[in-house]
Amino acid sequence: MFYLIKYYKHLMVLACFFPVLYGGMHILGKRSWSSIKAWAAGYHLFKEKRLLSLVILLVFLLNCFMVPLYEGRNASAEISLNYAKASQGLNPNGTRYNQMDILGGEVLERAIKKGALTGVGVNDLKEVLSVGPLVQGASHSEDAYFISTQFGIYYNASPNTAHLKGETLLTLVTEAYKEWFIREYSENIRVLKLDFTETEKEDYLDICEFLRKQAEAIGRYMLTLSGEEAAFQSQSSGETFQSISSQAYTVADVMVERLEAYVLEDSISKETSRYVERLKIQNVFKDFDARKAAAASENNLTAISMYENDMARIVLVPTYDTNYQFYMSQTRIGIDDFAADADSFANSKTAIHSEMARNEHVVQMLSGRYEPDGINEKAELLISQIEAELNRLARAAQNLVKEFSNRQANEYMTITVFTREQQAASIIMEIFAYTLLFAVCIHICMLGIHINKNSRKRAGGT
Amino acid sequence: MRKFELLRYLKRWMPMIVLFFVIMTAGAFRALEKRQSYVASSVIKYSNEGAADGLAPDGERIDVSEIYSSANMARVMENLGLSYDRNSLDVLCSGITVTPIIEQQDENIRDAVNKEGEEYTIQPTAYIVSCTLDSSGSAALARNILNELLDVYFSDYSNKHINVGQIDNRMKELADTDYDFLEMVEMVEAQLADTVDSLHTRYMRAQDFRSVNTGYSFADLRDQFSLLREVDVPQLYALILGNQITKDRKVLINKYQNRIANYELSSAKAQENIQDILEVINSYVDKMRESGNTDLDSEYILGDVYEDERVADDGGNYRPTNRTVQYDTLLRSWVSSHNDWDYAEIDAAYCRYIISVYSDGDTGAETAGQEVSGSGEAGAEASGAETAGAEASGSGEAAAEAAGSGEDRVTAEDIQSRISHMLARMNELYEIVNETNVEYNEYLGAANIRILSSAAVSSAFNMKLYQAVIAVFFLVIGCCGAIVLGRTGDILEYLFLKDSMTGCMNRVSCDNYIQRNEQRLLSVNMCCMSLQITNQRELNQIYGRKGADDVLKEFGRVLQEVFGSRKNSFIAYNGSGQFMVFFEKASQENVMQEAGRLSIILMQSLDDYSVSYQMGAVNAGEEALFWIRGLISGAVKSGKPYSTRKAPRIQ
Repeated sequence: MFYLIKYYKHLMVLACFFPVLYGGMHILGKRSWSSIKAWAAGYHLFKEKRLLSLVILLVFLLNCFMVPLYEGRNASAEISLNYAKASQGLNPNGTRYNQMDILGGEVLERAIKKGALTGVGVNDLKEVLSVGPLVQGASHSEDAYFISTQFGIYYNASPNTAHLKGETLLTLVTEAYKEWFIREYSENIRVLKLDFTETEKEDYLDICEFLRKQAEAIGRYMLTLSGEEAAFQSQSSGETFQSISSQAYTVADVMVERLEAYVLEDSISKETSRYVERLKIQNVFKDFDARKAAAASENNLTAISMYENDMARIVLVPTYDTNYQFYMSQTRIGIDDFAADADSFANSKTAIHSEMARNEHVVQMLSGRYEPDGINEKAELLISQIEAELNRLARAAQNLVKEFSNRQANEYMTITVFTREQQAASIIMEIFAYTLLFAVCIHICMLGIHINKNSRKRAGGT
Repeated sequence: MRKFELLRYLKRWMPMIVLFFVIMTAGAFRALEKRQSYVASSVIKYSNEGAADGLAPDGERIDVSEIYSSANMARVMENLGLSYDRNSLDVLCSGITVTPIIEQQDENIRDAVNKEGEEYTIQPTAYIVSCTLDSSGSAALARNILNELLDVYFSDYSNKHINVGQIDNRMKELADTDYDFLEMVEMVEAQLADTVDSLHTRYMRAQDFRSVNTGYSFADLRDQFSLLREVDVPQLYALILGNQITKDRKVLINKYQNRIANYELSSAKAQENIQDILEVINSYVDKMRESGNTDLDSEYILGDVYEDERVADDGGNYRPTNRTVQYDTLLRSWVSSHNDWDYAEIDAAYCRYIISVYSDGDTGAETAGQEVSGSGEAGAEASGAETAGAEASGSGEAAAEAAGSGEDRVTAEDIQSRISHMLARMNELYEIVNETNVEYNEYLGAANIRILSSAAVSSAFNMKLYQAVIAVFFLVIGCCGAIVLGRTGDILEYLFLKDSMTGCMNRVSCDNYIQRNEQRLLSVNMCCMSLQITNQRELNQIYGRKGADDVLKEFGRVLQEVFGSRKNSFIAYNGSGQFMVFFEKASQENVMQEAGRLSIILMQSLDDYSVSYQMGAVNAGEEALFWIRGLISGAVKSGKPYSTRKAPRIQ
């Protein structure tokens, strides 16, 4: 039955072709056109025409049944990509768009799960579904280059999937693809899901560093999104990416700094000795690093002083600087590199010394402490205030990003599944067309038979 | 001979035409299908800064053969689920072609420059990448392979030429190893330092990149690793050193002592190197002075700037030519060797410090301080060493204090647990880094190689068009063949089976006819008519040979006209003026009517001739003559005399 439906149209065409060929041969075999006209005129009295009408009616009913079944075994849908980067052949995250993802394993599995489809697997669906661009360019000429942004998905049933409705299947697949696409390429707000549990066992100054980094992470994320669309504003809160970014950096620069100042000034620590010990050990190690940097810097400076005067020769080069102003540059010799290296190592040494100095300062502050070890209520209060503010900012950022993503997701793609209702008119036209074709062909065949019969009668005499 | 009737031939040979048409069309379709091939093509363009010079972002030459490397194709096959037993890797690779697109303008420039006798090399940046499959594949497969190959190549290109330097997690299984605690923390610290630097570099290169898979940017990841480096690692150091935690103190101390010995050897080697280099430098400078090459004026400046040339190194990679003068190179070597010496001294001091912590705390710290001061005096170039020495002494005391502290003693199990916890966190972060990096590679690949045209597929043959043409062709051939066969049949029939004079079948045909039907029971409607001209001799005498022949011709013509269109009719001239006609008619009465009609027609058409003939006709059913010979005999026996004239003509 499956193959009968699949090849029904071919069979119908064959069923029309052979009779018309037979009848046509008989008609065209007559020599005179006037005799053909005469027989054709007498055809209307042909008695067997009533039987013919019945046959045509049966074929019509058969078409009414089979043609929709045939069309049901085939279905099509269209996906149009609407986001900005699609015309460059890219995904929203800047990676290369690959149309194969439309019929990827994950998408098809999701479609099967969503529709609770039984008796089919991913491989079965891959066999009956195909995807291709609606318009494709060519590589022979620059004028013919084209990046496709519209893709057609086609369903052509197999015996394994004959029980599935094509339209329903394509709807499931396209929806699954859209969901996958949105999930895959929408903004990932993982960095906004704050977790402060790790800080519970840390000392207060470490907590300050942790909170500062969390605040900077939120600020940096919002700043990046601001670069994509600075004008985007939340419908509900009125916040923009820039505003939340500023608030986050303010938390880092003000609230965390305040906490840090309190901790240092009041020598707050959960375990002073351990913390001090750590800083001292840290300074020992940093000292070794600083010494290396200092030694390297000094060696480069010594190399400069060793550079013989008469080996140093330069030429002045008139040129332009980066502001397009006249600038007198010069050719480069070894001294330039030694100087650059010495400067770099010196900066490194200074940075390390700066860290060491800070550690020493902290050690000094904690050493002159008045508060006992353990939890400090005011510090905890300040921390909880900062955490609350960060949580608030994270929630606001999440909502803003979700709004932004939703808006973008709605614009990612448009899906059109061609339903049978939309095709109803064409199906009806097809039914009538095939029936008419059959009727014409069978009448030609019968006319041929009628002419042949009568000409034999005539030749036989009365 | 029969008239040329096109439709008669077509009707007669219609089954053969249809069979020929179907078989040949199907055969041609199969043959065409086997020769079908599919070509998917896409256009890419390298868009990084050095692409116009044929260079990738890392300075290496762009090698388009990397696109269809076996490694990439193997990944493609894996991603598409193509099995090796049905698809050959080599065949797929050989089906990929990369064709450079050369702009017309560049060709014109090249031609113009070549005419001047100079060489001009065109460096294309755009390429057509094509994937060709034979008939075993399909258009969709060709497109899929090409799309997947480009995805894999973009990522691979980024990996090799842009985002080089992997961030490997070398500490994954560290917790299960037998390293001492201090060694583990040292290794972790070194790993974290590398990782933070690498992540920072990547962040600086692409500050706006944020992975949609992981949600992190490189800066976020850098900060996470920084926290581990700045908080967890120092905490562990403090706990380990402060409590002198070790798995095996003797082994640990031995190791660091051995390190000190190695550093001392390195230090000695570096010092020797320094002396050698200084000798070379001094000799070099002296010779340059003696030869007057240090008093340079503007005459010694060349008039042109020599452009950058690239030469291949040992690995086949092109690098800029190194034009650094030897004097600078020598001084660099001196700096490098001196750094080695200083670093060896400082590392040795570090090792002494560690030993001092694990031995008697005070001893270790003082020794560390003294030795650091000693290296400061010995090497005047090492600045800040004395200060560093004092600080080292101070920190040695700190370690001693910590070692002496009895509060909150930490055990080896605590340390192991903390290290495991830290490594678990690191492993988690490295997974995120890897996932972010994979996406980053894809992003960089797409940023540095643009797609100018999506994959477009074309097939070698438009099967529907070719099929239609082939079908029409074979239909025409079939029809022509039928016409040829039909006409040939007519000719053969005329030559061998027809009597040329009368136009009826000849005696041979008649005998064959009788023979064919001899063993067959005739149908009840079968009729036989026999005509025998009885005065043929007289006709010859009166009208001559020609006249007699005309009579025969007329008989033949009339018989064919009357009986030719009948069902299963067979009209034969048996020679000697005898005609046999076989046809189907329902009854004897009708047969007699036919005979009567025939005689009237003959009388009308041969009224100028006086022809006497005998005509008899029988019906098989009515006369119960169901065998052909009996039927013929019956017809002959039932013959009656007829004449074409009512009365003889007066001459």
